[in-house]
Amino acid sequence: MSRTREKILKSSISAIVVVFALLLTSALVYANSVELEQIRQAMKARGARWHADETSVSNLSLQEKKMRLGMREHEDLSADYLSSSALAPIPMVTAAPATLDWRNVGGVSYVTPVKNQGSCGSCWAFAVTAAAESQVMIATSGLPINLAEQILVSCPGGGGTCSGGSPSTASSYIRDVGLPLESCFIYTATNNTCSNACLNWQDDTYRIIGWHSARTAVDDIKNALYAYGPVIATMYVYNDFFSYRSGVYSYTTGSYVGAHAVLAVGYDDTLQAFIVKNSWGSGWGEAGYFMIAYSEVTGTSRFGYSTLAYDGYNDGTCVQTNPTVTLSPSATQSVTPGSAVTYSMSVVNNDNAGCPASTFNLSATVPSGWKASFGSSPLTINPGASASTALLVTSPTTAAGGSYTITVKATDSAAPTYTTSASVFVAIQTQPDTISPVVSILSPTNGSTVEKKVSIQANASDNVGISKMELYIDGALKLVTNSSTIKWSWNTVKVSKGQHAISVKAYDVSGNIGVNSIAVYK
Amino acid sequence: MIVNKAFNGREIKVRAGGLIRVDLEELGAAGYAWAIKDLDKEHFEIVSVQTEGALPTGDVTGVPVVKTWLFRAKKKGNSELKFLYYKPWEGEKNAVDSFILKVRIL
Repeated sequence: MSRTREKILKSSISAIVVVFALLLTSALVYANSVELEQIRQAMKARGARWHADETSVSNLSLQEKKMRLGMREHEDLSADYLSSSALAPIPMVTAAPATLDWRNVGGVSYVTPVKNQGSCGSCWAFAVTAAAESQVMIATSGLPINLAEQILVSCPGGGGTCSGGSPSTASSYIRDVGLPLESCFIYTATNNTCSNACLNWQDDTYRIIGWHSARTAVDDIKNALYAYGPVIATMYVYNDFFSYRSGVYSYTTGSYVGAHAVLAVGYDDTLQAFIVKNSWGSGWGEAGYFMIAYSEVTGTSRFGYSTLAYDGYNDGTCVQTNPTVTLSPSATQSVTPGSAVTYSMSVVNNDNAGCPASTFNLSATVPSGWKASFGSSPLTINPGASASTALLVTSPTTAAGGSYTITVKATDSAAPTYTTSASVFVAIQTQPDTISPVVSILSPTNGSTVEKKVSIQANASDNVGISKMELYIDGALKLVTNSSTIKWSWNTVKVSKGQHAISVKAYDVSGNIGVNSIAVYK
Repeated sequence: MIVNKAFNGREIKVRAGGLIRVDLEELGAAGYAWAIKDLDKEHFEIVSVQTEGALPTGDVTGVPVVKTWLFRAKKKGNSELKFLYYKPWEGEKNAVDSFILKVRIL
């Protein structure tokens, strides 16, 4: 799918034509030029590159405007969001071109017309539906399509209601259930009820193969746009955004009024901006579109703090992928000869929804004389689902001291090329281990001066095996790893001047602890 | 006195010099905002205006925020506070909701 898109793009990537419609007509009611002047002055002061028109939010008095509070300090939500194990970040592809606009790739648009969500908090449904529509258009060389947002708002599991919703949940719904055509359930801008959709709509839906989250950096969002097509982006809206008419938006003034989801359809490196489709009707902005500065990715509006890209339109074709295999616990287990270790083996079927359930044969490779047995094997797993079973590994009574490798493998019984392995280590101890790990702090060096961001790196060695490492700064625990290395970026900008202690502890599988500490100065 | 949308069309009584707080839910993420319609400045003074919205949970978007006005009743008499709900760039003629609070100032 990615190759298809690259082909489409490379054929005419030079043609980036952003056609914007005329601004609002004179029929609009404009009441107060003071507010507009304030926004314009703020724009000038901040060097903004966009144009504002008067709006009737200016009906608020100047006094009211000055008194308006509510400017928020936002948490970085993306870190929590991206930490979800369900979200696999998009890999970087070849360098993206300098400009891209999915509304005009070789003279063909892969973006559906601007819609209007009305007075319903369904931006999330419009953004994901627009993304799905673009995927269908990419797969069908731009054939028009109009899918039903109302399904997501009204049907259980669709992702939310008119009081808000989750683009990621809605994306999973489009992957697993799909959306029918708009004519099946015409948008009402109300919660409505699922039973009002057309009969048996689930039998004739458009689905996506899958979705990914993009890391929230400008290059990652551009990469996602280039490799996958239009992407869903969330942002914070401030009330100066209501006044946007043209140009490249960046926050200038005003209160936070809510979190919003939109569809990014392109970008322009010359203007240093993303091109974005809104769902406020074609009367807003540039015929319903806006451009937003790259700087807003880390700026006040946090453009793209959650960014989702779709894998492509699922036309029913089965696309198989290697399964994911994990063994838990993953850290080295220390036992005496003749003892057993119990693991939990988990297998994820990564095939797309067009595939039937797969049956995975499980196998284990253990050292000579060792035994391994699974709680159940094979495992039959639906696409996108996972299953677990116990694995019992027993060492012989004659096992010599040392570290041993246990490797497990899950193989699709019908398509053996789809197979994945995972390994863990078992340490055999013939006598009590009393030797502590040795910790080396590689950077910074003892007695050095630190400033800005400092990379702290340390490693540990042990006669049996390291189970975990801990990093402390001035006695406060900062990081724990389950490996024999530890690496952390320490931002010292707000750190007080003077001496600071960096300590690293390493634990071996027998519970012995090794510590190394250094002093640094700011 | 704190009022919200449930008070639409109702009358409240307040002493001159007293405060009235009006809380109205709005969907800024849908482009909608509440705005005062023709404030009776003879009877009311705006003390503050504030928009309060919970931070998004995960990637949830489209959640309403609450806009709060605080008015001071200036002098005795009967008056109204009127609000319209619309997209600012479309103007109040395209309002999709309204809120009227009748106020008797004692």
